[in-house]
Amino acid sequence: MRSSPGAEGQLSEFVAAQYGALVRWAYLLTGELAAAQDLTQSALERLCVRWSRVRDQQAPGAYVRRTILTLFLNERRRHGTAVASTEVVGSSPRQPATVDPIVRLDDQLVLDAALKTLPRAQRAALVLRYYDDLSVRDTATFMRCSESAVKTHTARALARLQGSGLVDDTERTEA
Amino acid sequence: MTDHGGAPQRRVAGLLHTYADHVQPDPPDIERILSGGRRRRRLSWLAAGAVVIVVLGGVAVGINIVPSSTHHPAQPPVVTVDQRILRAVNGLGGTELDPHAYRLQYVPTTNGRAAPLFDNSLGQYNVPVIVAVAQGHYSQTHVPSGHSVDTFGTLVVLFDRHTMAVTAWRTSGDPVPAATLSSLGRVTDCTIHYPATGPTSTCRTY
Repeated sequence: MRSSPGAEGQLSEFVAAQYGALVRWAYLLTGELAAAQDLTQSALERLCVRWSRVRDQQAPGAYVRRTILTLFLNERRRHGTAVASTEVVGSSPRQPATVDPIVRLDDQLVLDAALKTLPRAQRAALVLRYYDDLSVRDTATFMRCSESAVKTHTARALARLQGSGLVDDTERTEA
Repeated sequence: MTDHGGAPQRRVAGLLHTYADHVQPDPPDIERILSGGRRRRRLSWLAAGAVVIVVLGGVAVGINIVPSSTHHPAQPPVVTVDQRILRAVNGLGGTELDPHAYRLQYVPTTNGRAAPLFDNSLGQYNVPVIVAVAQGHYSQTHVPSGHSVDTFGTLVVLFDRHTMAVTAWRTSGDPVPAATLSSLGRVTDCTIHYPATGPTSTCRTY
């Protein structure tokens, strides 16, 4: 029933190397560090069970991300879909956004508040499309939904961000 | 990788990266993760074992290695004679031994349905009653009072179902047709023996 010491060593190496990135990815979904760490922990425990197979497929990172996403979306189903429609802090009229590599701190606060207003599927689509830079097709595959659903989720998420002033309406293009 | 094309999308991507980069997670507790994984593995083995047991059990039943109570004709439940009816039919409640077996059939019904079995009026139509038919040899102790031994082959008795009081009876040389009894309700058909060890009954219902 136990993994071989070698397997656990490989797993430990993977966790040590990838844990930070995985928690950050989970954080994009949850918006809360503790929840992100819990999701990552649960996903990594599941990875332990399937380590040999996943390692052979050379995709442990994708496996953990998919598990995190599944747990995240299932958590939504367990606790309902209600998302607090909080007002976005600092969403007063803003100057048009620019592609500035130096992102200002208040942008982060606004983004944080705006992301928390998004339904989980929209948030997941946004992360996969723009953080992971996946295509619509790959995002649909990852989320196990249709491409049109991905487009809808992404468009609605962008519309919300536009409403917060983070995305300029005049520049918004098809998701 | 994909080209999002628009500046807003690139800006969102930049925001998301910056948003994630500022997160400083605690160092991983690898031992906790590994122990959690071991626990999950044990649970998965247990679950898999349970599934295997259930599947093998189902297969075993399916191919008749293990008998299934639902696969074979149900064994008829053991039926014993209703002692109240037995005592009432015997009329005496005595315990004297009789070496002859006799047949006792009884069926719960109503006055109205039992009326054709009797010549006299049975009173109210819907009174719950029991019709009992005894056939065979009767010794002194098993003959209702007022009748001599072996003067009849069939005794038809009507009891009030609640009080077990005899409300009508008749004797006949001919047995009551089985169809007639069955038309009244569910029949309990017993053979009563009086061996030295005490009365026994073998019953079936139809």
